[in-house]
Amino acid sequence: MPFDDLAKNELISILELIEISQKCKSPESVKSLILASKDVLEADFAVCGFASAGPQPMVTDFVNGNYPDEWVRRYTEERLCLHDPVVRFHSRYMLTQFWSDVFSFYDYPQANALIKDASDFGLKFGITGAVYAPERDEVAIFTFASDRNRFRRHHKRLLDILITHFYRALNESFSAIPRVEEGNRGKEILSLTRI
Amino acid sequence: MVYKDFTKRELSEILGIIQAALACKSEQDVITVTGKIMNLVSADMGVCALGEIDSGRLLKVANHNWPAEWAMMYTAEELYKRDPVFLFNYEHFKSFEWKDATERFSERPNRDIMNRASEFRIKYGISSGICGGGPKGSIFSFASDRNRFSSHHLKILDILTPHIHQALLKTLDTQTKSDISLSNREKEVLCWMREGKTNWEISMILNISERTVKFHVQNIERKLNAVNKAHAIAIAMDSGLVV
Repeated sequence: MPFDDLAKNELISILELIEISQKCKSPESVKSLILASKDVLEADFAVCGFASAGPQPMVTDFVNGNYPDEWVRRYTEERLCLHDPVVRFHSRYMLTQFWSDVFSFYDYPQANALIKDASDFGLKFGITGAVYAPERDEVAIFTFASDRNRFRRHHKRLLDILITHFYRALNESFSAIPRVEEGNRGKEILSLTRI
Repeated sequence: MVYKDFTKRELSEILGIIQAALACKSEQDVITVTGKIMNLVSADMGVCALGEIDSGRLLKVANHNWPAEWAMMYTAEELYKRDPVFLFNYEHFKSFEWKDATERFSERPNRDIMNRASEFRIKYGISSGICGGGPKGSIFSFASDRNRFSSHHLKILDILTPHIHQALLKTLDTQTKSDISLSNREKEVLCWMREGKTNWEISMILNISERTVKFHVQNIERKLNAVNKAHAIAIAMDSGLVV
């Protein structure tokens, strides 16, 4: 069987999370979903959202599970996603990866500063999964972090199983919210003002 | 849902089926998934269908191993209009044992259908379905000639039904013109339909019964997602299936 390597309690947790994901209809319910996922992934913090694909990714929508509010405020106000190795990597590669494996690809001052600043908030180690969201032509990103290095291949496997269900939940939640259709001029203005 | 009642092997298989349903791209994929569910619920036969709730008309059928002759009769004679299982499903949209359906619909015409089905070893079964919130509803049936089914199997269906429903909907939505596959016989019937022949005339030309022609016509309409014969011909011509 393809899931023989998982313990019974893990299988139960996965099936429970899949069941929760099917009922998600709002960002608030996605918040509950990713917070409920923390336990099985042995993480302390969770966040997810959509980002544009490409070399200069922008976070377009997000759901904060329990990332520190101050860090989230700084991150959005200072547009730190432009130098966030995790967002930059996953806007190009739709897979699940440990932060430690991603950081080495972005060894430059702004990225290193961001890694250091994040670690001050307890966001030192993490695991992130990403899938392409064809409905929005964007990337859906799910991140689980901790101040301790607990993440192993097994957690990667669990997130790989769950991520498509999470993506469907996230997409469903935001598709219920009308998006403003931007004209070319509107896009220009938004690109300058979006946080 | 209480998952602790299941064995590790069952949980593993349930997760495997959910992941397989998520990856379904074609009718054949859904048929394969249906077979896996069939094994898990200890059934001998399995079939999935998506239809219009108001009319009962079937839009998509993923038949794993439901007896073909029975399926043909069922569609040609529109037996779903009197089938206790079908009616009960569209009334409740939850997992149930067929005995509940036959108790609810116990009139002679309903009983007759169950008796006729039993000649094809379709005696006992469990079904489930989902009303997708729109005009489409699904039904998933698993049957046997022996009564092996219990509330445990219904719980399994409860878990899997939303996933297989989504898979079935996806294959309907993603069906493109190039995906439409008609059998040679159906193409023959379609060609004569285009010539304006009646079912009876086609049955004479092809030397088959009128009932069989009706069955082929209904299959063509279902596969092309057409509302009637004229619509089917228009779609077929537009798709290049007949020129």
